Amino acid sequence: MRPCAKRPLILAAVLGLFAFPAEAQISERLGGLPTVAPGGEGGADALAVTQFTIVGSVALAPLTVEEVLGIPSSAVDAGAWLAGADPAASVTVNTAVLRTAEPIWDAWFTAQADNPRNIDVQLSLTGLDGSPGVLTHVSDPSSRMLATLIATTPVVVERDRRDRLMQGGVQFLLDCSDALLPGQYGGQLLVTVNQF
Amino acid sequence: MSKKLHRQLLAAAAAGIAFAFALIPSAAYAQTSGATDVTISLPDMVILHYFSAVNVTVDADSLEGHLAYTDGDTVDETTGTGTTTSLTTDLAITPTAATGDPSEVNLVLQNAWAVRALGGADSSIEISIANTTSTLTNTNGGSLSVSAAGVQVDGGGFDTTKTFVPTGLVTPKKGDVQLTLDLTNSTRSGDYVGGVYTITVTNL
Repeated sequence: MRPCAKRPLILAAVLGLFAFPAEAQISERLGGLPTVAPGGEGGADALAVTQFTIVGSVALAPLTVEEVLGIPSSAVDAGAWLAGADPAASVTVNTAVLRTAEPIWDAWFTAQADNPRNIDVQLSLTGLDGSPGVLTHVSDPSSRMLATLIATTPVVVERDRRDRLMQGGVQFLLDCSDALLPGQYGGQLLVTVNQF
Repeated sequence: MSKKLHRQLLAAAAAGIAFAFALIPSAAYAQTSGATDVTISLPDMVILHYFSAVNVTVDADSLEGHLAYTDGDTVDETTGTGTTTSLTTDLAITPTAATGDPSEVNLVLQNAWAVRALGGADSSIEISIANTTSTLTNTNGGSLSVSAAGVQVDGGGFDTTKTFVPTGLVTPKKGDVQLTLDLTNSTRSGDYVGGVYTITVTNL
């Protein structure tokens, strides 16, 4: 349920007056513009966003040993041995390896009277087994990468008198602490764009 | 109040409510979303942490303990018996063998290596040790040789090769090294240098 439609409906019930759903108001003002989401699975009820497109898949660049462990080679000299010394103490796992996918979505926004309006982008990620916030290994979901998502600031890439095209991307901060297997990790990213 | 005025007030009230309604900010009134598949790959990884220099001081008590002596011990070899036809006789002392064999002194280096590894579902990590340069020399004379070297994982005993399952990147698998020292030709105290062992890790 869209919050935009909910509130006017409640008010109308309380006031008993002439309020009608904001959805209907906007549709009327926009002249019933079609809403399409060619690359995505949602968007059927968007109004001011007249066209939303998201790429079908994103293949992030493979992670490297250097990125994950901060060392260039596969053998780490721990120096001179001392009794009780930990040979692995000098290396820690980088828990925020950065990958950026940009742009991955674009959307046409129909200009409103109070344009420019605020754009809010919400991101969520689920692993292949449905676990939130992770990418999971294709053969064993217990091997996973925690992912912190950051939406890049949407930018206007095209505009005309009435509409503007905006694009946005996603930054992934990947934590391989729970990754036990090499190979492919996957998940599904859901991008939701709100216009206020 | 006249009906006209009443209607005007009602209209004004309605207009006010409408205006107020317009000022109430609504939540997102336009929302759209889409999903995309995300993939990324991790490579096979094997990281060996090792010490490039190992300097061990073997204290006298430990070595004597291995031989079952203590420093300054006198060992009574019972009665020396000789037959003499002159004033010279051979008592033919035969020292009792040390309880611990000085040609097999095991020196254990605990937590001498660590391995971080990412391996496939059926893979294992193999670690092996080679006694690359087995002779250590003392500048004062004498030498010491390393007759055998072994690695150990999780206290499972020493061998030249051991295997274990990958443990990931955060918690490395740590293990020990054992060097078997042969002190047969060690005649001097002091530093014996020049030995090299090599550890090799393989993702099977």
